[in-house]
Amino acid sequence: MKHLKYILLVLVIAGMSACKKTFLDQEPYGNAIQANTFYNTVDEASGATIACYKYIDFDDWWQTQWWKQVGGEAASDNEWIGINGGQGTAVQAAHYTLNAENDRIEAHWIEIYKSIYIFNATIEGIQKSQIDDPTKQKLIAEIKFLRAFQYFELVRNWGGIPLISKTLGPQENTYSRTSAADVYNFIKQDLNSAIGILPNKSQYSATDKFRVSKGAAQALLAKIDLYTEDWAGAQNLTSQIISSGEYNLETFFGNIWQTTNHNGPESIFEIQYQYSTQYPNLGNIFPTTSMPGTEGGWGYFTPTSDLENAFKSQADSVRLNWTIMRQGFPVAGDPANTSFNANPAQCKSARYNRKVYVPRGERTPNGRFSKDHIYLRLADVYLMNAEAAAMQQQSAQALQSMRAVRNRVGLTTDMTLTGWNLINAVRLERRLEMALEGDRLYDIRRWKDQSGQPVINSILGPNGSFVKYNTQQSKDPYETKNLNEPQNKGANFIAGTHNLWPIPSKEIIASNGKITQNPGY
Amino acid sequence: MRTKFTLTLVLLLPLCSLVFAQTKALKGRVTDNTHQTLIGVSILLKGTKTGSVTDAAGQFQIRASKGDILVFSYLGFQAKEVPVDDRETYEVTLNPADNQLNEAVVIGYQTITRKSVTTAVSSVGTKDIAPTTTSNVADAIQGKVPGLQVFQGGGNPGAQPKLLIRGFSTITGSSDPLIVVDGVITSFGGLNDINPSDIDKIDVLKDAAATAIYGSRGGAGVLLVTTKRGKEKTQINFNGTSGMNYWVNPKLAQTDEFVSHYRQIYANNNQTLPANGTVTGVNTDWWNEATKKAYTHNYNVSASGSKNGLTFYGSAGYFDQTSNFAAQRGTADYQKITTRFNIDYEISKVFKFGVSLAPRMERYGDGGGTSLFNIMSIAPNVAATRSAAETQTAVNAYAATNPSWSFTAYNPVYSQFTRSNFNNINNPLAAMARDFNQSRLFGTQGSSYLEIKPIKGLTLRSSISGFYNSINQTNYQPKYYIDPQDRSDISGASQNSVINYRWQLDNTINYIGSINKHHYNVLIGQSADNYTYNNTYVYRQDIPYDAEPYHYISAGATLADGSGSHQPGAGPFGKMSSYFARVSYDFNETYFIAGSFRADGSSMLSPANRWGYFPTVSGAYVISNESFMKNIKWLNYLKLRGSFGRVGGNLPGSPGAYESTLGLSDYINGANSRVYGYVPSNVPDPNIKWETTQDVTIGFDADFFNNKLSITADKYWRSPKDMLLYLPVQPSLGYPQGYIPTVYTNVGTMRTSGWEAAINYKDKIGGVSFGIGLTVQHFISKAVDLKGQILYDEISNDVFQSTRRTKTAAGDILGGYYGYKVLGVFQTAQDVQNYKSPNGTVLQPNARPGDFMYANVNGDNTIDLNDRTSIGNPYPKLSSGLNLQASYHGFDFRMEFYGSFGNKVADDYLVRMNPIYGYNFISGKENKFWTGPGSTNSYPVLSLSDPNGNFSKNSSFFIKDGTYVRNKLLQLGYTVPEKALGGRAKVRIYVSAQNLFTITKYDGLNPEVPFAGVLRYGIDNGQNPIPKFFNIGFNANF
Repeated sequence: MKHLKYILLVLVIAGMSACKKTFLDQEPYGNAIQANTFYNTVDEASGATIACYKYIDFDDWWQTQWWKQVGGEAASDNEWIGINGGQGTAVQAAHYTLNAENDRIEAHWIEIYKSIYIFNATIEGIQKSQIDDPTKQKLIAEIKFLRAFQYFELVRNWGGIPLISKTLGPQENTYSRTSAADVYNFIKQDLNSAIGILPNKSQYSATDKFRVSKGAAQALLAKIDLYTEDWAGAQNLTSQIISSGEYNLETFFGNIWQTTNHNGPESIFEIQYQYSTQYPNLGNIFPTTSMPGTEGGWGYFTPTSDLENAFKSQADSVRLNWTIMRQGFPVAGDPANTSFNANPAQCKSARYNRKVYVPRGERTPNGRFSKDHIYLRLADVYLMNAEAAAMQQQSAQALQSMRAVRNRVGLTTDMTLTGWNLINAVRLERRLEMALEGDRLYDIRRWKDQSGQPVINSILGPNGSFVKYNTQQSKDPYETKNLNEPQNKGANFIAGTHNLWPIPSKEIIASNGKITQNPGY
Repeated sequence: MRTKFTLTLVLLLPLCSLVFAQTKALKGRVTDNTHQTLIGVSILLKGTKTGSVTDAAGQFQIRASKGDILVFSYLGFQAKEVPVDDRETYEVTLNPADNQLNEAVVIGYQTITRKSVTTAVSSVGTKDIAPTTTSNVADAIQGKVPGLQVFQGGGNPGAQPKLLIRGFSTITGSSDPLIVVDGVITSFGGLNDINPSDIDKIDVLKDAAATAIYGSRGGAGVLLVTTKRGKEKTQINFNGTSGMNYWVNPKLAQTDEFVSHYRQIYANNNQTLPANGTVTGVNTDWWNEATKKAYTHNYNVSASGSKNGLTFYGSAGYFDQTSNFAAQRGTADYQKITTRFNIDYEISKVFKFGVSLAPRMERYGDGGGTSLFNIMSIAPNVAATRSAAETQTAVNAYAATNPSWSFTAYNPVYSQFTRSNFNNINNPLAAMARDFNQSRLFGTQGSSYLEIKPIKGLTLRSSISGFYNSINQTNYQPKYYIDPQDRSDISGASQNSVINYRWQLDNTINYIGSINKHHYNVLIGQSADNYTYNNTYVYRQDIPYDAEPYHYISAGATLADGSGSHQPGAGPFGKMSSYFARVSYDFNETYFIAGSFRADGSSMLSPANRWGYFPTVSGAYVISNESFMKNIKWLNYLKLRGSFGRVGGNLPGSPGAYESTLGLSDYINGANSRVYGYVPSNVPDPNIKWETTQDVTIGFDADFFNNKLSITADKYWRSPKDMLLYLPVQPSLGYPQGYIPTVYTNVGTMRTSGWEAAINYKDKIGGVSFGIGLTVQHFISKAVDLKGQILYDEISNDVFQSTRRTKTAAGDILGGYYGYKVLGVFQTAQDVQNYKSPNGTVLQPNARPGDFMYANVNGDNTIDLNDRTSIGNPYPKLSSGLNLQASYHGFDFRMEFYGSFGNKVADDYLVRMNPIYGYNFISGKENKFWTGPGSTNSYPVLSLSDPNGNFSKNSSFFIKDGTYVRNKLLQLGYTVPEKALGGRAKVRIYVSAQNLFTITKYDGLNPEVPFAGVLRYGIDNGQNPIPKFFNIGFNANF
């Protein structure tokens, strides 16, 4: 039986691998880490918080930045989709011929909810961490601001939406839509608590200047007050911001749009972009999408002659030149571009958006630029203040705030305005100052005219003023010739239906009908 | 018991001869019919348990008495009975078994004889592999194994063919069969790491009852490769072939035809042909410029032999193949050096060990930097290159309007090229000129084993094996300027180093025994393995002077990208711990029953789902052994088989895939520097587990007419279930994975059913020996339950069409073509008006004469997306391989065909005829299209606008019959008579042609479409064709 020892040897070898219980436990060593192994230190919790900011614009141009132009501006009277051909679904949205399958609006929905998952998961991770409580509360307040910012974007686009304030597993999809009022209440609660916790902008070091401050939370809350018509609340908050001394208007309007101006004195909330050869994807490619082919861009989003006329009606040449680049004119702030070529044969209106333009000498490779995306700035706050005051018949306060904005661009202000004249003047001022920054559609949706109807109902629709202007009065040499994008933009707008966007059908299908569609779609 | 054990041992030891009374010592030698000695031939005294075996020299000794009968038996040979007479020395010659019943069949962890097989196993041996010159044995076995499909790799040197056993076993995962080389699990689907000339045979396990011994990895079938091992006679073999190959010129339109075609199109549309389309003074034959004849060299030398219990086989092989692309600096060429050493040492009748080592080296590129699409599409009226002065002018013009653009230096080697601005196709020669992509691989497989046979019938075997691969890929992207749309502003060099390796430990105990006519075979075993993957990737930019000598990674001034990984237990193998057993029993080799069981524990699944259990049962009935069948003279053998088994399928990817993860993200802070943080990157289904497949197979094996004709046939039904699908969840859940968030989860069910048969006939008429081998097969894969999902082919591949090519919903075949059904072409405007809906409206109001008339499938009042329907089946009704062999004296002749019948191919060459692209085309093709009433009813008008969507909508027009028969091999050889060389060597010379001709009605480049995925099966979008090969070869045996 001497061979038995060899048999035993084999059995021992066999047994060795069998008995080692941990053999099959294998952790992944990828660039991904297990979710429960992070947020242990202040550095980790803070890094996770900072990473959240990126998802306000999500990863790249085509996600939320794109919709903010398609929906916020091109679906209004400010902008065309612009380039001939391509992006048919963007044209369908801007011209109100879209349906619930539209991939542009769908992308916006998807990416905002992805950012909300990220924010919820990060809040939960930091909540469980052992770091000191003040830091913990401060970081959570920052993320709650970001989440509120996204919920505001959801509610102003779609009305009532699924309100999800924690991470859910694949089987936990039993929720339905929360009403717009309840969503607004949720956002206001989060912002109010954040205002009590967040530091002022001046208390941040230069490195941290980009982070959410008390003023940012106040400004966002004030804007929400306008949307919910809490005029007193809005006026109170905006007055606090203006008098806080934390912010100042840029002395020169054009400075706001310089690529070198990061988190300047006027800036309240700004998403950061920086091109570097080592991390090129942190440069902003969105400007490239909105510059003409002649400047290496893709040629989308061309301002309307209607908007240009609005500037001209106020003899507002500074903001006209810093908002609209016109065929054959010099480009403001770019000495190398003395006669702008919009490639008019390929472009609806031969006009482009100066606010996102990058001067030739400042362009970095691959079309990605160090150009920030400013979401909240002091001029916006002044005009919110003016609007809140005007709606409460506080003419002096309204005129004072409006004048601050007009003075900068060398315009005088009629200090005798009152009543609806004043309200309409503030609204026009808002259109000019904030043109092409993404609020126009939501402003004309929320503004009511003297009959109590949303303003958008009289601008768009078959008899809308904008539609009539384009189809009957306009002699614009470009818009009336380049008919690849139809001249009757807005004629298909149906009041009552198109005051909200359709819930993407993928959401409705995947919810087995628990999520209901907006009326009319 | 102890006594019996000792006795058995003693009997097994030939040197240890006990003396019995009344007997005398006999000795002798056993050889085969080619005079090679046979080792290990069993010699038994008939009617007793006394016996002996031949030693390494084929010698035997035994004691017997006159009148006894010696029974010589040896696997694969006919048993022979020799009566003991007065002689003391016996020369015995054994003849090979004249049917395959005694051939050895490897079934996983053990080898049995063909007659004991109860499952679906097919084999192909070296004589059917050797005639084809290839670096990958898959090419050589196409059409030779029923139920195994081989898809060509796509015509590039070193391209990997795709193997498919019995159709698809999954939708989202891989249907690549497991490749096991000498018991070592090496890969899924890839046979590239074995030199075909080292292969002795390949056994293909097809049904679950056969593959389940490999448990969770056996779901897509198993190929067991057995390499050559030493034989008694020392042999040195040299084999060399040299060959030339080329792609058949499709005869592209030249400038005159191209320009006049587009001039006509533009004129028809009242438009003026753009200036760069009208150039007629230049003609570039891009096919001749960009493709070339390529050459193949293949040399193999091997030595094998045996001495004193030591057997060895050693080989070295060299294979190279140049590319059919006229790529500069040979970056698309392929070279492979392989070696193999197989050594077995029988220390005694009890102990045996062996070592195998097979190192190899390879060098390959990524296809040469361009594609056939560019060559076939670029306008012919563009010169291939331009002068230095023209280049400088173009650079200056671009720099003038782009002041921030820095282009101080450009290398003329990469920049003195043109581009077709008429159709925006980049110059393929330019792309090839700057192709530096090179990979160098060093890999080795190795194993060692110890085998102990302590008592008769019992074998204990323990082996440690593994492989190691190291791949170093380098690339350089020079700075160049051809055109604003074909330029690179930054030069860079990258290097990616991959190391992967795997160890595997197997222990088995096998007992084979019999009691009277009852035969048992019991195997139990244990196995564990671990696969590790590492890589390091670095990319640096700003090569000094943008000059080629600095194109290595260390020269780049700026580190622009870098990444790496280290992963023990990496996918797709992971770490696994397994236990398995197989039991088989037969009575009198007539009634067979077998069962196997395997338990697999995988590191890739959560502890709750980690273990899977895979049972099988199979049986066979050799009805021809029954007495009532003995009278049927023309039937020599008939076995009926049936099996049922459950086997594992695809795993969900990678370690920890069941856990939620965070991924690295970054953002810019107020100081313009990058800050890192982690954000959610994946929210999986925590209960994810592997797919499983159940199958049922019935079949028979039969031999007729003195074993001249053999037929084996199988019918099978496979049901993969718990299939992993990406199930969309509500977007508002916000999961990071997928654009529309999805959860990868076990929900789908599908079914593949099919049949296969192999028919072989061999005979000799006069001096001519000949053989005919035919395989035929058919399968169809259908989705049964997809949880309401409708699967389409990847939209990312649809650059030319706005509708998907294939659609798969529950009940559909996988990847069936989907689109509009073309009824004809409207000849006149009146035809358009006459084509009305049920309520009398014109169905296609936008259509013009020459446009397609689409079927109103749903019968409503419009033609829209809802009128799309199934428009064709990519699965062949039948695919078949035919091999013919004949030999006459020294001459041998061989012919192989492969054919596919009744399958439909989606022809992208037609999509590209849409004149808005301005692409070049195969000469004469434009004449088929509609030019006026009555010109054709099947091809649409070529127009610059397409409101009807003739080209942008997928329709039955693009779906063409893909039936073809290809002559895979034609070979004529001559063996020089041994006498002529003094008996010292056996020399054969041969000439052969591969893919000499293809019979097909399909008018694209190649009806044999390389595999591109389950849902894109059969879409011909211009993959490289398979070249024609011409070889001469020389083989010498010493």
